Amino acid sequence: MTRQVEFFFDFVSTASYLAWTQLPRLVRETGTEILWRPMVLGAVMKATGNQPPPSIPAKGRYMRTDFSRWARRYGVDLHYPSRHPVNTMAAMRGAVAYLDRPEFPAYVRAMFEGFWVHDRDLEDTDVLTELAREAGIGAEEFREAVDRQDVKDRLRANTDEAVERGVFGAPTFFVGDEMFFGQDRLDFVIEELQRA
Amino acid sequence: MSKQVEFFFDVGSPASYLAWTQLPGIADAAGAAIVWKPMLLGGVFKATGNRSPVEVPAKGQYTHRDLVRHAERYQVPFQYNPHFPINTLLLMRGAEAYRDTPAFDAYLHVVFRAMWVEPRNLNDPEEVARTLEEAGFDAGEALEQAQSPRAKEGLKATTEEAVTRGVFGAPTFFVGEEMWFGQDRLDWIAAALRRA
Repeated sequence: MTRQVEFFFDFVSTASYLAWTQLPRLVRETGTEILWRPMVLGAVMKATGNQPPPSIPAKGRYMRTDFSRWARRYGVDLHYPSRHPVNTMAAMRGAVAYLDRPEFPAYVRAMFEGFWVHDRDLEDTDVLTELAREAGIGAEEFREAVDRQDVKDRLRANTDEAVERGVFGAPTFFVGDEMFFGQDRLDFVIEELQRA
Repeated sequence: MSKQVEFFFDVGSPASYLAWTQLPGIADAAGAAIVWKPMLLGGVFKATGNRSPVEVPAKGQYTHRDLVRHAERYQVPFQYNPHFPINTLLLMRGAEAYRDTPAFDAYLHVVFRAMWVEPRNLNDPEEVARTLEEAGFDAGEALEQAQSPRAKEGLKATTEEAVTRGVFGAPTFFVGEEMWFGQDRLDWIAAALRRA
């Protein structure tokens, strides 16, 4: 059986970005296959009664320090966008629309790096189509794709499933039924995959 | 100045317990001293607007799983306390009273074990007294110490200091001005102590 890990994420989440930068290492060390599960973090928070860490100012300040430390450890860039959080619904619909397409890795990279490295506003439709174009997706095609009902439905279904399975934040990983929350649990995910 | 790590904790916090099982070894290995900072987590939550993870049910369930995983990794006993949350005011005043005395280690040991290994209902003052007596403490004297103005004021001062320095949860560590939150940041603290 192929070892698989499900990765529930939202581009809006700093920790999702940091985790994403480490997925190649995860794949290399475990030979796992990543099942990409785009979800809407805001809807998960609302459904579970969770709140983003910055709603507590002291926690928000610390979390930034913590994420910067991890970015340094990983050797990756991290710059807080000038506007955060933003509504990433359209960007996440794009992730669903292109999930099984060859452009998907480039699309995910364009969105994560656009937001967390290059300060591109993922709520701005023009910015989104530009980033999609960088991933080799035509503007017209992209606009249509994120507006498709089946795409909207799938993103909602992913989000509902996440909540049903106990997800309360992002990123969240599943190896079988074992759930791991946070980019700082990658070593536990790797251990679990090596056991699986 | 000699190397030191400040440890802000509350015995009612399971993550503080797990950190306590590991910190002395880490400090010893680095040749560092632990500066014990008993604080009232409830007071920190109130001052910062933070909440216990268990107030979001999905988060509470996962947090328990996560603590069990860490206990397994550390190879230490851990039982969730069914009486949680426990009002730790008296217990933490006791910790403050014993802080700079030879009985401090024994006090923390008996209270942490009663809270997270045995686990007992330490909401009940009689159970607290029994627990202390069994461990060789004179419970009457211990409770008197805990209710002394010195202990009350000391605990209040440390709790206020914590909030002033940006603490929002337990355990929290400082090496110099650098702050870490959580028992899952111990490797960062070990690294900081090696550098210090």
